[in-house]
Formats: sequence, structure tokens, C-alpha cells
Amino acid sequence: MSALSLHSVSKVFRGLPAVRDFNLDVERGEFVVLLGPSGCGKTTTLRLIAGLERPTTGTICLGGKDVAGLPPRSRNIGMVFQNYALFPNMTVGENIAFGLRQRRAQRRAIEARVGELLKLVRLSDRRDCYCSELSGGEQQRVALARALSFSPQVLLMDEPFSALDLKLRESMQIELRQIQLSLQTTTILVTHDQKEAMTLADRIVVMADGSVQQSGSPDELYHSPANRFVANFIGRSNILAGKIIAPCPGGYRVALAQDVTIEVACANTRNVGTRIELVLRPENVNVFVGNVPSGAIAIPGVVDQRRFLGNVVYYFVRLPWDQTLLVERAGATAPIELGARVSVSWFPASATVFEAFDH
Amino acid sequence: MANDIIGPSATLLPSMMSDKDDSAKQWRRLLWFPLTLSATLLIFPQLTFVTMSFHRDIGMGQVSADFTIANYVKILTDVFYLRAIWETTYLSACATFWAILLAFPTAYWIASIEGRVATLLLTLILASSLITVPIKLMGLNIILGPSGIVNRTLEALSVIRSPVALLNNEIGVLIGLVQYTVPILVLMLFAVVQTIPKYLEEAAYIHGASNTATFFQLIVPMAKQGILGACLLSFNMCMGAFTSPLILGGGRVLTLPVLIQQKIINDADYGLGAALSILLVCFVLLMNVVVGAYVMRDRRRRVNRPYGG
Repeated sequence: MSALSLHSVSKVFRGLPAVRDFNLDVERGEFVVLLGPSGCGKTTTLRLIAGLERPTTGTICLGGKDVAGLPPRSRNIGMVFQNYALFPNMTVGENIAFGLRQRRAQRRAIEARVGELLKLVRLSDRRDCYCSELSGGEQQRVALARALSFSPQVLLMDEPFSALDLKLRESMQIELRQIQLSLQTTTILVTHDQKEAMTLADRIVVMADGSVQQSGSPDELYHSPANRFVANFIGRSNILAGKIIAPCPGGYRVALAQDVTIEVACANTRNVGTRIELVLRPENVNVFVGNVPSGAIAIPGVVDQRRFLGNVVYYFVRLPWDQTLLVERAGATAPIELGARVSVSWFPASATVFEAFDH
Repeated sequence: MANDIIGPSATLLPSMMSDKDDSAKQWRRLLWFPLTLSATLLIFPQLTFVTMSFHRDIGMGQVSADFTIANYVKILTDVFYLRAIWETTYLSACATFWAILLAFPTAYWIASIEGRVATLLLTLILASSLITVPIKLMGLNIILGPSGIVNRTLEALSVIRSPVALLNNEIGVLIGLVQYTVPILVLMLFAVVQTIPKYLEEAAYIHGASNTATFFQLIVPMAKQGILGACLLSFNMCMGAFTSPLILGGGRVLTLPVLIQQKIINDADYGLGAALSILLVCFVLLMNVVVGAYVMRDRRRRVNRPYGG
């Protein structure tokens, strides 16, 4: 039995669909991240689970029980809001105790639990502070402790790190993951930051326009994206347009622009004449000043820009048809001069093929 | 890169700041004029009252030339006047209590509904608060009379057997005062409640709070300052209210404003009337200072607690 399951859930706001036919099963203890650009319906999905919105259609089950008719307070869900939503009229300790007090827990038990949680989030000395006196990271941890206080069935987090600066965000992400692993709390986090999603998630659900594009582990999403949107949203991608001209062993021959033909690996059957899009990760493309290894595709180009980031270096290579290809190399490799005539190259198997949609 | 940006603006800033400072200073100097004008208009009539209150009435609207505190001694030792002070305070406090009790949930409810309905309701409330008090009181007179709709309904529901006196007594005055202050309190508290973000309520609901718990543990404490302010406003309005006690009290409920009017207009006892007015002003002022001090202390405690305290 899954901890949380959403079955063909949809939500329409004044005739505008925010979530369409959403299906998700979350295992106990799993960390699921809903990832997508703003306005893709991920926050609405979270609010539907919390009970702050009612689904237009579909069912939401918590621990096997349909919660359609239950108000938020009866769902036993913890939630961390984007702006933390800490109660300004209460101290840190009172904020954390809030959920327990509502559940009529014994005063002694509350005291003990609050102490325990304060220790968990390393804020034991801040118990009697008001939240306005805390830094952003501390407020974030109070919000987390408050959401965890009553051992919720599911922990929901709505862009919890967006207000923190980069360094703090990264350390908070690690801390959150450790706490989540130690407590084995089923967690659903919403973010638009793919790095954050990949750092935290057991499973990422990529959303766009209110519907699920792909659901899978970070590895799966990165290495075998289900469509062009996912390929583009997760990591960096080069997209080359082409047309299938003939089958060949293990794939097809594809004509790119200006009569450059290459081979692509493709297991699916596609008709000759189909317009396709080729997705290439920058790290799977290489540049050569001299000879290209046999078996690899080679297209001539000119180095336009070079961007050195320490561990890696990016080259922007202009192809004959005026498209720029992003190439990633290790930072330690010998630099290639700007304007150098090079060959860009990749192995057919490392490119993913999608049928092109007419835009 | 970063230096390029900071460099020029750092040199520009001081001159811009001083320009801005100068114009701000000039603007502030200009504001002295209206302040002085309103202060003058406030202080001079009051000064006349203060002076008059220290002279004995010698009949026919004349006051004696000698300086005396006899008027104050008389008021503060005469049971009649002490009762009037007590009655005014008591009625004002009761009216404030009921007005807040009615106004706060109303304001909260209006703030929680969205869009045009809320605007419409607020407009109606504003419109009703702009109707002159005597007209509203005439309406109350009709409703609360022995054969008015209130008594009729209560009789029909067998709550009472014979009509209850709702006019020409304290109950009537109380109803009048509540009706007088509620619309203004709703408008004032609406502004207060509206500043409480919706997501805080959502957070309360998610973490297990019922509507009642959210209201009492979150909304009321967060609106506390505003509620205290509204209480003060209502209390002040009631202490100075003249028409309600006069019309709905039927001359039987003697509050300070009614008494002052009687002394000054009917009896031409300017000295005593002035002393009553000064006492009323001082009393109300004192209440405001005490509550104000409490609010400020509370706020300071909240804001300036030492880090990590």
C-alpha cells in the first residue's frame, strides 16, 4: 500500500485547467520532487494533497484512505510553506508545539517532543525567540520542525529553499535529506530548480502545463528523457533538427541542415521522411582539432566562445548552418583557441531522438 | 565587474542624499503651518474652558473673578456627579465590549470573502456610518419601542409576555452607542485583519487547527494591537457621545455629555459645566495614555528582545 496516491486528479480554476489527469503513487519513506517551470501546476498539486484546494475530478488517498471529504486538519499532513508561514505571535517553541497542542497532546509530551525537534534542527537555544528574530535559515528549520512535530503521514514542502542564498540553500538541502532519511518521512517537495530536485529526490516528477511529462529517478530522467521538454528542462541539451532519409543497421540515416547526414541510433520504428529532433548532452559531444575517432559522427565547426568554469570548460561551436552547439570538456584538457576550425563529434548511441512536433 | 558597478554609484550617492535631505527638510518646515493652525484652534477654546472651570458660578451665566477649585471639589464629592462619571464610563465600556464582539467577527468574515461582495458590504457599512446620528436614532426609536418590531418578535416567539422597556433607559442608550460605533469599528478592524496573510491561516489548518482554534489562537492575537486601538476609539466615541444618551435615554440616563449640556445650555452654569468637560477630557486622555503605554511596551518587548534571549 502506498503512502499517498493520486488517481486521475485534475483541477480547473475558473475554466482554466491547472492540473490535468495527474497520477502518482508515493511509497512510504520516499522523497518525491515535483519539478517544473512556474505555472505548471506543481504547487496546485501540493495544495490538493494538503486539502487547501478541492480536486475537480479524481481521488487522493492517504495511506489507502480516500481523503476527498477531509479538511486539511484531519489529514495528518505536515507542510513547509515557501515563506515558512511561521506564526509571528508565537515563540519558536510555541510554533513547533502548535500541531501537538491542536491534537490535545499531554503538556509533558509536548515539552519533550519540542525539545527533541529543536535538537534535530539544531535550534535548542532559540526556543523562546520570536520568529522575527531568526535568520532565514533558522526560520526554515523551525518551519520544518513544526511540520514534523506530529509525525505526519506525509511532509509537503512548497519551494522551501527559494528564499535562501545559494550556499545556505545547499547546506539546508543536505540537512533536509539527512533528517528525511533518519525519520523515513514520506516527503513531497515542489521546486523549479532542477539541481535541487536531483540533489534531494528518490524520484522526480517533471510537470509542464498541468500534466506529468515524466516520472523517474534523477538518472533515468537525465539519461533517457521521455520527451524534448524533459530533455531540455533537466540538464543542458543541444537540440538538432533533422529528417529521416533511410534506415540503417540499429537506426536511421538522418539528414540535418545543409545536406549533412549522420547516423542515429533508434530502437523505435519510424517512417522515412519523419521530422525528428536529436537531443545531445554537452558532455557527450567532443571537439577535435585533428582526427576524429572511427565510428563517431563528425561535423565541422568553428569555436565561437570558450567558458572556463574550473572543473569543466564549455565551448560554443558554430556549425555550418549557423547553429551553435554547446560542448563540455574537462577543465584540465588543453584549451582550444577561439576561431579554430574543429570537428564536433559524438557516438550515435549517445543522442536521443524525438519525433518533432510542429510548432 | 562588481567594482565597476559600486564605484560610480558610491560617489554619486552622498550628493543625491543631501539633495533629498534638503527637500525633505523644506517639506517638513511647510508642515508646521497646518500643525500650528490646528493646535491653535484646539488649544484656545480649551483654554477658555480651563480658565472658566476655576471660577464660581454666580448665576445668570456670570462667573466670579476669584480663582477657586470649588467646582472640582463639588463634582468629586457629590454622589450625583460621581454616579454620572461612573455611568458614562460603565456604559462606554459595555458598549465597547459589545461593539468589538460584533465588529471583529464581521470584519474577519468580510476579509475572508473575496471580490465584489466584500467591496459591496464595506460600501454599505461606510454609507451607514455616514448617516447622521439623529436619523439612525429615530430608526432605533421605532424599532425598540413598546410596539416596535423587536418587542413584537420577542412576544411572538413567547420569549417575553409583555413589552420590555428598551427605550428611555440604559439598555436603549447601550444599543444606541453600539450602533453608533460598530460600523466604524468594522472598517477599522477590516484593515487590521486584512494584513494577516492568508497563508498563516492555511498553515494553522494544515497543522491541525480547527476554525475556532485558528480564530482564537492566531487571528485574535495577531490583531491584538488593532483590537486595542479599536477599543480605545470606541470608548472615546462613547464617552463623548451626546445624542444617543439624550434621545434613547429620554433624559433618564445622565452621562457626562448630557450633564454638561444641561449645565451650560439649560442652567447657564458655565463654571461647573466647564469643570465637568475638563474632567471628562482628562479622564479620557488618561485612559488613552495608559492603554497606549501598554501597547507600546508590548510592541517593544516583541521587537527588541535580545537576539537569542
